[in-house]
Amino acid sequence: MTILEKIRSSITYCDGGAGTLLQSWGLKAGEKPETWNITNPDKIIKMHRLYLEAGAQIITSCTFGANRFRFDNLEEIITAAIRNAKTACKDFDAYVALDIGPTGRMLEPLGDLKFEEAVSVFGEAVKIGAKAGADLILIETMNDSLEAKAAVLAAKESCNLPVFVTCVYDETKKLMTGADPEAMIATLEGLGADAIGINCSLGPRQMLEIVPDFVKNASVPIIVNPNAGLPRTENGKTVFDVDPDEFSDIMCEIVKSGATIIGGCCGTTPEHIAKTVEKTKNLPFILPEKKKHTVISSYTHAVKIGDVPVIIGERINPTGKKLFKEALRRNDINYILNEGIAQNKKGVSVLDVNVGLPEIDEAEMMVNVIKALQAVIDLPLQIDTVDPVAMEKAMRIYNGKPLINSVSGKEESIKSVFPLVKKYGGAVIAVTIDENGIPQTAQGRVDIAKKIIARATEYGIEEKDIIVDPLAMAVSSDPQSANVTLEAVRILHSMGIKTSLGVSNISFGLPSRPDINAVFYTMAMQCGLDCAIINPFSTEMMKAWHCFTALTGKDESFAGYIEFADSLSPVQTQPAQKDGISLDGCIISGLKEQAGVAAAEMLKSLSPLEIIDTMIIPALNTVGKGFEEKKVYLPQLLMSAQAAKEAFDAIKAAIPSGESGKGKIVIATVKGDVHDIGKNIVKVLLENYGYEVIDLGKDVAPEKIAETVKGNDVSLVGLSALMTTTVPAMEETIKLLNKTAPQCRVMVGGAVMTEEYARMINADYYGTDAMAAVRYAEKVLG
Amino acid sequence: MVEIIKADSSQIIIDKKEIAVYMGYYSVPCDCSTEGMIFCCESEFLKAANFVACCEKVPVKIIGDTVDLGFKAFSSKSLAKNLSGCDYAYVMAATTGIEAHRLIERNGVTSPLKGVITDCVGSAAIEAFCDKINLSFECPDFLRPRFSPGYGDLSLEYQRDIVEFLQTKKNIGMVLTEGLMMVPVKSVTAIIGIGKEKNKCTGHGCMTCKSDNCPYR
Repeated sequence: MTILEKIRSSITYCDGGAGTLLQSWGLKAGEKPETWNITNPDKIIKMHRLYLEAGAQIITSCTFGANRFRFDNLEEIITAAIRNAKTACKDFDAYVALDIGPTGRMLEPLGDLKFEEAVSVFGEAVKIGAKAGADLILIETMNDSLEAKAAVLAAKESCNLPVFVTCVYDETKKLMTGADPEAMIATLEGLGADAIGINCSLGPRQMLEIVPDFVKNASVPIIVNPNAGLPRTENGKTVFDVDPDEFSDIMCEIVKSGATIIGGCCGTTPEHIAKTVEKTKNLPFILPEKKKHTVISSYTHAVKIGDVPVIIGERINPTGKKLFKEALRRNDINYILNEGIAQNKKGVSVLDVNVGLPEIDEAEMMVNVIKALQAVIDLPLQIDTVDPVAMEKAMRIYNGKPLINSVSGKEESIKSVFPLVKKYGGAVIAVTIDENGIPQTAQGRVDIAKKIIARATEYGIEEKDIIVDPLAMAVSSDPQSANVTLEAVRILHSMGIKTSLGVSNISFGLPSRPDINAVFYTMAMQCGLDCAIINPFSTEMMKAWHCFTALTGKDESFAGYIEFADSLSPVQTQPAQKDGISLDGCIISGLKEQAGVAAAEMLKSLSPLEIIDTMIIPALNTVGKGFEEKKVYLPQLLMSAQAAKEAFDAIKAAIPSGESGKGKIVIATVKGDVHDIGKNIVKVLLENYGYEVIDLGKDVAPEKIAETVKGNDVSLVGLSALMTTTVPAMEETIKLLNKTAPQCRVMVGGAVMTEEYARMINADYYGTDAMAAVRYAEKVLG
Repeated sequence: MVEIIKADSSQIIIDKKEIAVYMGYYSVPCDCSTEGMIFCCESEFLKAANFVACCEKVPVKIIGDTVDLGFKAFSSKSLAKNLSGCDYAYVMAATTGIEAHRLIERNGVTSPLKGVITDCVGSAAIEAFCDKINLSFECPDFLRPRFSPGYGDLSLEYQRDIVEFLQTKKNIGMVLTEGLMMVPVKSVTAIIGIGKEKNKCTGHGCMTCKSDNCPYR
């Protein structure tokens, strides 16, 4: 019987903790247990046999920390570990699991470990383990959802063995990096894990509380491997507070709740497992039901599609947006992040991400934007691209189960999109168009939907992961188009198929578009529409959504409606001029809103450049001088900078095109350094003073900086480093710049920098603070 | 054995003066509007933070400039001085958690001002949490000032040993980058000697460091 047949036919028992046993046999504090596979194979085999005799059917190899970050002799250790486990299993009907634990590093964007490096690290171990004869891969003790994804992908790409995954949840039912069970289930099942569950950190009693979340949402067998409660020290020895009797009693409850693969983790012993086997072996075997929910997820939570209509924010998309296009060309990720954060505040549940522009590398931009968005926003994302390369790269690094926009009924589209959905997991928007175009009738569109779903099934993609978009077409060019789309939504809804629409297309070519859009949106929701891509800044659309949810019992106690209604109350803002505060006064006092109003007012009598030269720059200089003289403090300096930015934004549109600023400056936090607060302050001030800043972000390789400087004809670079350990990367960057762009000046700053250090690494200037950077830019660029 | 310590945000009392010092108000009080923003950022930070630490009591052996803490021998004159006369020390790691880390990043994107203030609130918050943990140790009056890698001549490289020894990723979700930066930001690793007499030193945390180019000094 294969392990997959076994876990689908009866309760399957895993082994228990290794650390406590090995320590009692002489493993010293700080000694790596994996080395015992070579130095003490008899003891490792003895440990496995004790668990087999206790009734364990899955034996975990002693390879928890075996990866290239910790061991140079990886092949030797993993091969010996599998050999030891197989030797122990000789007389037993048992399976050997290659144990894969976390790398000990944090993946980007939170940490510095690149996703592909993590995949490679895990893949290396998996290949060795599979070659040595492991029966399955057990990825365990994962407390970061992205690392778990990297490990599963590595396993799937490196072998054909079944993959089991268990993660570490805390008492609030979350991973260390924030994911709840529903989000992890969506992600891991999407990636094709064969069994999923919980291990470590908690005792059986606490895990009993989490099992129902798995039973409710999972379709694959559920694994529960608890610790023996909490550890404490008794006479210098570590003991755990749940003894084998209590442990096995609670494990009975866990099996009755729906877990079918059970064992132990830290502190558990062969006795814990023996008693658990004894008490649970005759309990009913209950596999989880196959779920039909349509679910997508972020790195924290899942969004269910099919109950409350889901709003997908449409603003991260360059179509028809001049500023957005400029931001993409400038690689201004912060602009895009602000679009995302603002939509999040408006209450969207998903963010559409489209960064396609002919003159940029869409795949690279898509990856960068998704990483950046997932560093600060916890909403699930809709990956919106027609480029299959960009789609695959994005799906690969996406932390969660994404929504994909889109596949069509065309064979070419099906063949490029469905293999990706099958491999990486995701729900996909299916637009009802095929080689013959868009059908004129609702039934024609439904037929294409059926065809797409049938083809999806052939790829092993379930119907629940297909969300059909029956296409809203401009009613101005075909008066029946709204009726056809709404009828298609109604038919699809009656068939239990989920639907989505890009609502605002309906009003194309008509005046007062938001009004038409909002009414159409309401009608579509009434027909059963599940998702809509809309502009959440449109009050009409948000009114439609809030009113609909309130009127259909989908807004408990009207809480959402009342909050929204309150937000519509007009806010009184005093125009600056009424208070007698001039634009320069607003900037000096850091009055953001008033500065914008005052600048717009001044445009009536002065040209934009006159406003900049006579008002904004002198005001900034006043504040800057105060800062240099230590009479003004950083918060005040930044408040003034924000006010100046507001003024700039107000007059920006009036600046004639072709009139350039004072010059380009590239800024970056150097390779290896992930702190960028100081660099961001410098950026704001430099922009205030009219410089065009190309911000390359943090942890930037010297080559990337040199390449940008060359490609944009830049003559000043600002580099930041926080730690002594990353200053060498600064020196390396300066060396490269001196070679590739000798005309370019380099200013440096950061907590650990000193004048002397700057000289030592051949920097042209050391700035103590952001104002110093501005002064040096004035000197170099004017 | 590594002990895990958690605290609810409501138990963390952040010193407002310390926040102001981190923001550059060394000798003057900050103005009302800045105070207001500190208040907002502080409440936002405390809502996001998940205060968790892990520590273990270890034996101390000092030979010359080398301090052997059982799991690792540290070569550092400053640490040897700090732990002189101690038979035991606590090795600890503490963090304000990943959501607090994300909040600082997010606020930095929407407003550099809010980003700076939240960052400073975070610095003061992790110090407050460490103070609270130290008070929970046996004989808190006998504890030496916290000493972290990077202080004096104690190399930052030793952070790797502390993080490995305390298994910080597994226990509190804290890791080091290759450049030895802690993730989440607003995390601390430290060694705290247990003296045999009451500690007369009133300094704690970074204030005991001899670095003379730190902007907060």
